[in-house]
Amino acid sequence: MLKFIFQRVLSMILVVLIVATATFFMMRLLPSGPFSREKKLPQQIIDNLNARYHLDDPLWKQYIDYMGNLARGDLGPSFKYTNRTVNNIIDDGFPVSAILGAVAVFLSVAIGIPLGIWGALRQNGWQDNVVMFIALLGVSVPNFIMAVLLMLFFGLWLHVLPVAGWGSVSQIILPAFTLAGYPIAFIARLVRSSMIEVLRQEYITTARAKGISERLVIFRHALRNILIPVVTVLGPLIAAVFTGSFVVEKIFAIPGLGRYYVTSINDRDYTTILGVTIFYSALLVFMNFLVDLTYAWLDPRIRYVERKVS
Amino acid sequence: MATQSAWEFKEGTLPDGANFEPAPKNTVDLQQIAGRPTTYWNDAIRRLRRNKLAVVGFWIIIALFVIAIFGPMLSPYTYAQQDLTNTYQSPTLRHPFGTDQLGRDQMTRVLYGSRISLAVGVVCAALNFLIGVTYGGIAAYFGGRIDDIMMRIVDILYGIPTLIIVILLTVLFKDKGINPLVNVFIAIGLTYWLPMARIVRGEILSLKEREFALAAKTIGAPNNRILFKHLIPNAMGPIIVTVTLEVPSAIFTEAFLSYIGLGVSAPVASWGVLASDGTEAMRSYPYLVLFPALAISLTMFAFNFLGDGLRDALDPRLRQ
Repeated sequence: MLKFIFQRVLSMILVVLIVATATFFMMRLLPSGPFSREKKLPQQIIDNLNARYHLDDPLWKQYIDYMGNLARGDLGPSFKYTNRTVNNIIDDGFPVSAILGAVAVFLSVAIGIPLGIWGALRQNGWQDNVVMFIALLGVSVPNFIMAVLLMLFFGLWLHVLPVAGWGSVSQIILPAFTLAGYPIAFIARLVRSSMIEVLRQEYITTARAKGISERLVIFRHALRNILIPVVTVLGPLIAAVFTGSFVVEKIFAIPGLGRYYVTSINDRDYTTILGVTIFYSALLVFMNFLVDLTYAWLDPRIRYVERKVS
Repeated sequence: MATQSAWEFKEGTLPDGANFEPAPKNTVDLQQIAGRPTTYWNDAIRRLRRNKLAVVGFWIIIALFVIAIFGPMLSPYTYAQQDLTNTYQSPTLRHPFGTDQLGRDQMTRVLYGSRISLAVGVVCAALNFLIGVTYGGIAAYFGGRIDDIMMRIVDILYGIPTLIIVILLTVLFKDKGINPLVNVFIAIGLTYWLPMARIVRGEILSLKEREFALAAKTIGAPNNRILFKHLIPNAMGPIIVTVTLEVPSAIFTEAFLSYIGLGVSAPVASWGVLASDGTEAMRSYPYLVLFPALAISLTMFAFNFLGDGLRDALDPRLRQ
């Protein structure tokens, strides 16, 4: 187990390093510099700006400096907002995105698992068909469409929830459900199919033969084995929630990191793009790592041995 | 079990009271009892047909292609044609989906958008075959060190969310002044082959150990012939399912990129652009966002329905 953790930590660092390097050179390769404007600036100003941000250094030195700063957790200044650093932007935006994301992940698990179980218990009945149809709907409707539809319906027609903004509990509901739409559907489908498979296994028959209530059979015996596939997909689903926040935060006017990221892309704020990309990659790689650990903890049958070369 | 076949029993050798009837010897009569022998593909198609949602999805996709090809030709308007005296018209007979802020016919724009979305889907599918299948096939077939290096690259790329790679690539290409639609194609092409490579690798790893692969090797078939003519055709089932499920996600990505302003730009009408424009006018003119939203969702539905049905039909493990 320790060896597994060590290997995973090494490969995590490697992935983040590769992302950082690739993104760094990508941003430096762009033909238009961060200070190119419609109106041409005088050469002297451009030189001064380049000197201020060390863009006149040779590329390899810039890279080493950046990586050195990165190791200390310093992502450098923003090109767009002269008195803000990328760290400031992340400090401002990330807590908001994290709250929204956590609510969305909670909703996906809290709704997706019961829906899936319900469908499986009434396999091929009308309830099952309804669950599966909703699930396919959730997988098929893109998040930005879902956002607009929820906004139209609950905000503009029914007037029960605020259309946009951030700060009150009622303002979290619509964006959180938008973000959770896809994961809810995905988890419901997964839980349904694994539940159907698990219920056919012999240990369930044994449990029933002992005469314990159906509720106990489902929640004590079957559920534990269903959680394993759910945990394995949590990694990609968390990634989906984060990338979904790019557009959901924009539509609902939420001051989160996703919105800053999209704004920085449209503004060509290269240092912010670079920094936030590295931050997102590190975060997701770390989330995947946590998911893997949970997985190992939930299912003792899984042995993390060194991958054999086949 | 007895090693004797049924028809080797002679008359009178059956135990008393047994009501056995010897099976006919010739294959034609045998088939009448057992039913016609069915191939993998016939069997799959039969099961796919029984899945109503998948059939509906299939016909929607066919209809979409027909509409995408002929729809814009039949429309009396073009996607960029402005009519500033008729802006924000509600849906009428002349403009079934209404008109937008510049008086452009929304229906024509939605029809035109289907071309972009389906083109993205087709390109994604083609690149999936070209890059994903080849990459995964080569990694699995040659194995060892090659496989290790190739799959490690895939693992690393897998660790980063596809959308972030696509966004970065689009930013890069956009500044190089490449046509935005081509950007999206390149970005999607460079990233969407990853799941395919993994799946094909898994399939080929087990297929290459089978006897027919060995047989091909013993008669001296070259490696690329064994891989592309013998092994990959046998992995077609999972490949097709993966393509059908990758296509809607590529279509989604294009719409997403256009929605946040990184995909195609005005006056070209992609569904993402239309949805984005529609969102801005949503409070007063909700129909503007409704039709592109319906179009995107319907397309994604159709592909997901079909992909799901194909998976159930082609996966031998799900056979009853």
